[in-house]
Amino acid sequence: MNKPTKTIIAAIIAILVIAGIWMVSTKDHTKKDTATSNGKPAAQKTVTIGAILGLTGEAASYGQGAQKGIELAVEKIKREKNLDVQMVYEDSQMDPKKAVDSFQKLTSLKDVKYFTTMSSGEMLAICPLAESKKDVLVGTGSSSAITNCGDYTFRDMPSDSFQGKEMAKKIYDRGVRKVAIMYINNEYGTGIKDEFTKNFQGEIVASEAHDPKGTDFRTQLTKVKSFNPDAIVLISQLSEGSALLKQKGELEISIPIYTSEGLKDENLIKNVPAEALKNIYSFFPIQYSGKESKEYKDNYTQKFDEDYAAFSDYMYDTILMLADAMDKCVNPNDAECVKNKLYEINITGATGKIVLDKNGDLEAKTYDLYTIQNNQFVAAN
Amino acid sequence: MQVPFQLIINMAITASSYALITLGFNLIYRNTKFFNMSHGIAMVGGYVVFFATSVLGWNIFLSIFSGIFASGIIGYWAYVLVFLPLRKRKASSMTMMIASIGVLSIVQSIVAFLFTNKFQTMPNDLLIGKTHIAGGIITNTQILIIFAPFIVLLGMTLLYKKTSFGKIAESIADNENLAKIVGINTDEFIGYIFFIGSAISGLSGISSGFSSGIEPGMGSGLFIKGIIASIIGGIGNIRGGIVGSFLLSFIENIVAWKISGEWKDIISFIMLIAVLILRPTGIINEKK
Repeated sequence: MNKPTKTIIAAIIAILVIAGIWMVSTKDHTKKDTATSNGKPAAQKTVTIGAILGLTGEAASYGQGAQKGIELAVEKIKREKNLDVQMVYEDSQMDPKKAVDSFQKLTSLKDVKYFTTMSSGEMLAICPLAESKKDVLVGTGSSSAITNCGDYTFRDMPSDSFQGKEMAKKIYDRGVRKVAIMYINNEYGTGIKDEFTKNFQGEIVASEAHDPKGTDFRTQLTKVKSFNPDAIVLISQLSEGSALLKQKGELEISIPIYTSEGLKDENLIKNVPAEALKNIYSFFPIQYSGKESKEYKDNYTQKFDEDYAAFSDYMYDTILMLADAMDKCVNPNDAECVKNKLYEINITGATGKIVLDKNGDLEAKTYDLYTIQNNQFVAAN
Repeated sequence: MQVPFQLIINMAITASSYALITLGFNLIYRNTKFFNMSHGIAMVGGYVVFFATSVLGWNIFLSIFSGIFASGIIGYWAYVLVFLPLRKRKASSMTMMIASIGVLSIVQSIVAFLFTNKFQTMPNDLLIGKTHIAGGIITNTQILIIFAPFIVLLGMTLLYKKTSFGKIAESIADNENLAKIVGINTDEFIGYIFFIGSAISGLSGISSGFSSGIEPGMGSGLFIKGIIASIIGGIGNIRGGIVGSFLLSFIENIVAWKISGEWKDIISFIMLIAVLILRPTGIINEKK
């Protein structure tokens, strides 16, 4: 390349960079302008909620679904309540470390007092900070450790410890006396396993952990089979669980398997050959099918032209629950008042009745048992 | 007797996925003397097969061939675009290794972007049917998986012993400068080696895709075990890699059987450290 060409290229790059900066900055301005000029009547009180979601990365499908659920909730609140909810989204890639960064950014730069996030890991990482700042955190994490987070943390998702207990009781009630547990070696797996072990009245002949991201379960399956249990209790997540069940099919193990709620996912049916899915029973929080649920699903499909994403209904309810408490306070930006009102919450959302106990946990919700027939999850009897 | 035989089958299936990784990795290492982390692009093979069979509806063997070929092409272009310019600048093997981590991350992100991060399994089995031997069960697909590294090894042995390609490759492995002096275009030749090595890596992605499933991050997990197996067998030693793979898989499965599954990764790293301290050249002696 000769010198003039280089200069020209450099000039073009410089122009592009400047134009880019200019466009980004003006775009920001127009956004703000429309927000104020098209805003609601002055009487409406404005509150800001920071949503820390995994919008990209491994859990993006959950995070993006949650964002859609939240958008629907915000629209509903604007229609029905005297409240102007402004959402600020931060991408955490569902990584607790990044979630903490997002939290710091939102509190220090934007003075946000209300936060919502999805996963247990993120909730547990943020909750000590939110507690110390007396900011309200609402979310859908299921880890049993969230119960001990403190006064300012709430969730509309049943706790894992509750699922462990329910599994122990229901499996025993179905006449199973001798089980082998296979669980994923993370917060989720050990949490449910510990509760199950504590509460199961029958005999536990084996308790085998597998690593998250593990792909080879053949020897563990062979081992578990050799104990001849009445049933296998599988506490795992979709990827590991799918691979495990596929290999179970190849090894022709026909022992009934009871799974935690993480495996009741349509993708399981897509991933695993049908013959390996015989005799599988999955626990799942009881599904609410009232008018609020139908309204949510219809609105979702209408607006986004797709079926509602898993757990997006819980995030929708999280925002409705927070807004309901805000609406009851004279000043919705008074986090102390909103916190107190959250303990008194009693609404029915897309996932059913929401009443919180003194720990900010969803009051016991029962679990249903599902099995797979004709490539569909159906209620097991 | 029933259960132990199943254990041997399980062990052989896992060992074969490791062995395929070591074959390609050692091949590239012999000629370039750097730790090529981009060898973890194994998932490309799996995803190409997945896409070709489930979306395009191609014949399974044609899909497998495409998967192997696509991995080879990606390996070749990674060499031309990244490693060759670095080699020309006489970059240290540390720089090359870091660049190769970059290549792996890029390929992994593109795969995740195109196919999502979801775990998926291959739509249909390669071969239908199961075989019962000595109380153990093995699917016919798994039999093929177990034989795959030996077929590749046979092919490589023929290539090395019977053709001039092998002689050139060995001369570069022995002394690259000398090879240059006698008129071998080593830069171009190493490109071919990258193609073959990456194609084998793609095959390992396909094989583990059929044995468990595919996800964008699977390559790195598989690759780490492959590297450990290579080091146990002696890095750059092609047959040693296979022995290392079987040894690693054997110990992992025994530990899972006797103690517990979560000890599998711990024991493989303990083995790695033990070999590095006690016998850094690997357990297999290579005759020169």
